[in-house]
Amino acid sequence: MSKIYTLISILSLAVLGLILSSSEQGDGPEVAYTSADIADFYAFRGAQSDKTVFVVTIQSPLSIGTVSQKARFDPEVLIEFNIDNDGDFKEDLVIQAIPRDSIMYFFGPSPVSEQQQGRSSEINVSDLIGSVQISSLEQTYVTQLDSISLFAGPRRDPFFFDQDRFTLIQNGTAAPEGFNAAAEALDAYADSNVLCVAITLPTELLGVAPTHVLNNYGAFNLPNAYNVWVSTKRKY
Amino acid sequence: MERLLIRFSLVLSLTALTFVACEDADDFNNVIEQVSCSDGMQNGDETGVDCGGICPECLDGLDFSGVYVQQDIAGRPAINSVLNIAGPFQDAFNRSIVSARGNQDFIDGANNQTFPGIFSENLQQYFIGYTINEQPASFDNNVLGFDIAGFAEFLATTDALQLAAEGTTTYRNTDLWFTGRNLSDDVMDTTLLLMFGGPEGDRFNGVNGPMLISDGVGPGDRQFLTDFPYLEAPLTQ
Repeated sequence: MSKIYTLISILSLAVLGLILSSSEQGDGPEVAYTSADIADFYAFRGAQSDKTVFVVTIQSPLSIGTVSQKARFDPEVLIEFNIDNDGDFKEDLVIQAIPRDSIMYFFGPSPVSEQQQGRSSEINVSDLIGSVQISSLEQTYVTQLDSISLFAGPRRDPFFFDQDRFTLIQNGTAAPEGFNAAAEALDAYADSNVLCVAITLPTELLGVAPTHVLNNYGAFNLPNAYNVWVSTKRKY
Repeated sequence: MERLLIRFSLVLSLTALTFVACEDADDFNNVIEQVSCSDGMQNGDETGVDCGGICPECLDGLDFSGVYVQQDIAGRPAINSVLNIAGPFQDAFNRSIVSARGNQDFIDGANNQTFPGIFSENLQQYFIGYTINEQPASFDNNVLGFDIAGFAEFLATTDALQLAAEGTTTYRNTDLWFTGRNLSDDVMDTTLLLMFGGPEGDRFNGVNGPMLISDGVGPGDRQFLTDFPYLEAPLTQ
């Protein structure tokens, strides 16, 4: 570890704790508080057993009022849901979302060749799924296609954590008793919003799932599972 | 001329079908589906060739060209803020791809550093100053059976949400691990359990040492929806 990194590391633990936050919220100085800053990523079954929901939240935290009112998706920032369905942690399919004017456009799931995998992407225009009017604080818009639903807009931040107490713990001995009991614990995200992009689609569109990765690490018997992640990519 | 005639006759026949369909409202959608969104012509209620109406929107005039380069990435919650603490390494993580974070992959811009190595170092630092039964404590495996190096390597190289193709999705529910992430899942308690809970999950439970395996916070008064888009409406006051 170089001296610079050692110094930065110590400073981080002692001082920069204030700007650190959990989940992906506010991470990395270069991306923190930009229009490409991912807060959280969710993937779940949803109301219908044959469908999967992907949700990403970005630009956290948006305080209530003017900040939430003014929050906008960036037409230069592509949001990409990545699906690995063969277990090598390289994306085999992507679902893309990007805004134009007041509309969010969705593309995919598009197959990704080996040459296309990695940090750079182009938009798969020929795989347009559809679009949705971007919601506002007052009005929610959802596009319901035959088997796919689309949403983009501000929502209440679903993420919950006693961030301030954790920062003290991260700083070493500042919190000798550790976390507070429920009565004293404070959820740092309870009163804020985020920008959200969500899609529901038939799970079969994700291909056949590989062996659950944790089964390779011990005597687990977990069901076959895709590996999924989200990325933001800015126009170069 | 031939093409025009063919198109004209197709339109006529489709119009005829539509008229037939109008007599039976239940069949209306079926007939519209026969107007293909990939037949290379504007028909049905399309507003352009194979777009508009029941087909995808027309993208005329919209520019989706160009190359987009990664700024941020997220799989499991909290990895790049809890286990990767220094800003320059966080930035490097955000630029990196999941499959290039192994024990052999040096971090871009840092000599001989790897993400598993950094995660392991940072994980150890959390234990400085904490005791159990007044004895200094350190990471002591976890409920998944990982030692500290194995845990760091697992988190770095498999940083994605695992999503079960069928059945229950949960970040953790008793013995069901990593089959998805629901909005209401207490992912931070799960993360803390894996960091501090030891092999049985009962270390740092606040009895003989500090409470580090739960932050005491749940979803609170959030009201997740039972249907799409599932997230609660934004707060306005």
